[in-house]
Amino acid sequence: MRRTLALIAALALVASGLAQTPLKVFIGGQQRPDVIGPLLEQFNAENPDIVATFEVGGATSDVQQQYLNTVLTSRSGELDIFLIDVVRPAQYAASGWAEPLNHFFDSEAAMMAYLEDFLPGPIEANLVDGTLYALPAFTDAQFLYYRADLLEKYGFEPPTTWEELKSMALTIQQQEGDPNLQGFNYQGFQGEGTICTFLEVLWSAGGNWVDEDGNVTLVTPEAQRTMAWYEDTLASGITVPNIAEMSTDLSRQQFQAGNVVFMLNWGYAWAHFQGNSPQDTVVAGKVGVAPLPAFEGFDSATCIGGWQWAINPYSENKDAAWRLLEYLASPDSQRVLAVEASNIPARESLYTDPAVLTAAPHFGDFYDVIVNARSRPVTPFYNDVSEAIRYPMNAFFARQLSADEALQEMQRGVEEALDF
Amino acid sequence: MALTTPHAYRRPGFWRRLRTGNPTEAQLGLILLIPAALVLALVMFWPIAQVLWQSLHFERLNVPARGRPFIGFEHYQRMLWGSDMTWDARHLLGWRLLAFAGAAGLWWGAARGVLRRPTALIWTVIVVLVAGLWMGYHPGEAGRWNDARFWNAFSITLLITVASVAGSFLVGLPLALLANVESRWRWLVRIALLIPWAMPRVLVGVMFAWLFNYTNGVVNDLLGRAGIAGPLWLSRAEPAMWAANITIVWATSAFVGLILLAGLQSIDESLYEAAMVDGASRLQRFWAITLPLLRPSIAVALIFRTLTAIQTFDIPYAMTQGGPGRALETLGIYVSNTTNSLNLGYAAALAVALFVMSLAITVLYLRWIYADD
Repeated sequence: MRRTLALIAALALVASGLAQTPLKVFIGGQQRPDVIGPLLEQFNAENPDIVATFEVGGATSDVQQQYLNTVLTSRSGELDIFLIDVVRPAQYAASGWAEPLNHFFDSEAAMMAYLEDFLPGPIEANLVDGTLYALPAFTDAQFLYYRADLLEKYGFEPPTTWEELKSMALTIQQQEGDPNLQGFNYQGFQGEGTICTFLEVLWSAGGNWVDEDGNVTLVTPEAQRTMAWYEDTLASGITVPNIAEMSTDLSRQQFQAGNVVFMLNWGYAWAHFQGNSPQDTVVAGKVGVAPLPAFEGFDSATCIGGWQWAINPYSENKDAAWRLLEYLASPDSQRVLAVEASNIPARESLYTDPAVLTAAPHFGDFYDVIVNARSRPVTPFYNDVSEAIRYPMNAFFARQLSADEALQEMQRGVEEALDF
Repeated sequence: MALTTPHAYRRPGFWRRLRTGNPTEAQLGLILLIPAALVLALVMFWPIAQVLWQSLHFERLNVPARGRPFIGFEHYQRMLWGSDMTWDARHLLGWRLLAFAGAAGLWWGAARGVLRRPTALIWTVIVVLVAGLWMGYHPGEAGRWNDARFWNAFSITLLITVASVAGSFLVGLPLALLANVESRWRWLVRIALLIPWAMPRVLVGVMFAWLFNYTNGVVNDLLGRAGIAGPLWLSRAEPAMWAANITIVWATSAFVGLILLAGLQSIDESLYEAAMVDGASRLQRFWAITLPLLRPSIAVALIFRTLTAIQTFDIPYAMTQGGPGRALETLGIYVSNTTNSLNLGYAAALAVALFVMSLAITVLYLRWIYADD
């Protein structure tokens, strides 16, 4: 009798194992496992034939990517779905590291109709030569954070030009008389944030890293103007001299401690400032968000950020993975991510969604910035291009390269990275 | 009964001895070694062979269309001498020729029996590396004629090795001597020896990056109280090098101290007593007894410390990710960055360079240790 029972139990186990497709999702520690977990549980409840679980690794874009490099280089199907940074789809397409998604749609037209609701920026990144490699999970951009209380005290409106920013910062610094108060904080460290530091000002001077014919254009008057502006931030004293060690999160912490008037940073900083943070905040309710300033006569521009869901091409359960992908990219899931994790939605419709706007009223302010966000270089050699820009920039902030040397080094480095 | 010639004694054969369960000691040793040798071959020699093989291939994962063709020594050529020499680098040709001539001379010496072969090999490696270092040290003139970044990483690695190994001995030896003194506080010194050694290096790096932070760091706060304006530790090349070395010394002198402490405790007390009877001063006892008897421990600590120094990655990476600029980009960090750019072939060649450096140093040390034999 006991043996029969054991046999039945074993059979039941085998049967359930056969009937249920296991799916493994990979996310980073920064992408709120506490919110993704319940989302997957709900998916499992709605889809009894699938068991989705998740794995967490790495807390920065670079570290997450290093883990995925290892998994995908060994052609492992251990992970079925993963989150990738918005700068990655082109490289994933070239390496064959993301399953093309076109064949999950009935037709090309059906796909384009499905993508209609998403913001154009992330879709542009995920569509490589007409092939869709990932779906946006959430988006991001760099914003100009400012101390609304200080600006109000001195009767300033958020600046629209870099010159305005400088004079406001100088005035506030002088009037406040606090030697620890920084006028303008941005990222100058050896990392991903620094490439945006450079590109955003370059774009706002009417330049770009490459022209329409694909020639690298980094030794140009626009680029020189960019470097002159950063030189000026240091010379005028609105920026601290140790900007070469300023990482994204260090910037955020200094603003949060009340030491910064203006700062460039990503959307995640907002929730920290309002108190959802491991560190104390002295700026809750005193923070404003605006589009980045530009040079007189040019448009403001910012870097697009955010994360994408992709399917592992070595996965053995791609059909099940697609169902999960659709679920994760759905308006309902993105609403949960927006409300509970303050992730900026990649779907247009959510910017007018009452639930989202109640939980995160600032998303209304974010929208204008986000739709105008521009892509960092879209290339399979992103790592090399990024390195070729951030290294001279960091060396410039560390006073190892002059502005001209830094630009020449960038030009040479980016050309070498793309010349193949 | 006829006397039969006794059977000539024959040693039982290898397999027979094995079968009868009566192996010789050498056989037993061999048998017992097999599992370990297999494991070593699998986890050490096989990967090394793989990396060597990979370094001879073009392999960029973001260019799958080009496949994985065999390209011979092209990576090494690019790394050491560059593939695209421009005429501007003409005058450097002389140095290259000199290096080749030096290496050839050394080999000729070895062939004529003037030098011993291993000595010649080591000096060849040194000559080529020093010549390379000299040639690479023209950052302003670099066109695309060599991988200036490799030579930068190479000299950064050498600098960190020399400075941090010397530093960890300067701190580690006094620590060991202190821990060896009978005192009520000995436990405290021993704990101080153990803690930095037990801490994960990345954590040490992050911690010291905070200490050295220009605006909020403890170091500059203390300096400020003493009336000294602290430098921009992690935002300028030279102070960053100091900061990294101080951190590495802090983290590694404990290891040196522990090994030297073990050596100190094995020194016979009666030697000191005899010396004292003879009226030797404290310093004389240290020079004549402690240091010479400590030599094997120093050698062991030196080998392990130097090897980890050559492979330095964690602390500079955690502190500045190799920055500012490339001021702390060691070979280890360069290998990692190249791997992350998915250029696996070139990364393998860089890893081989790192391996050759470690090997050369180990051989040099081993020869020094066994110099008396």
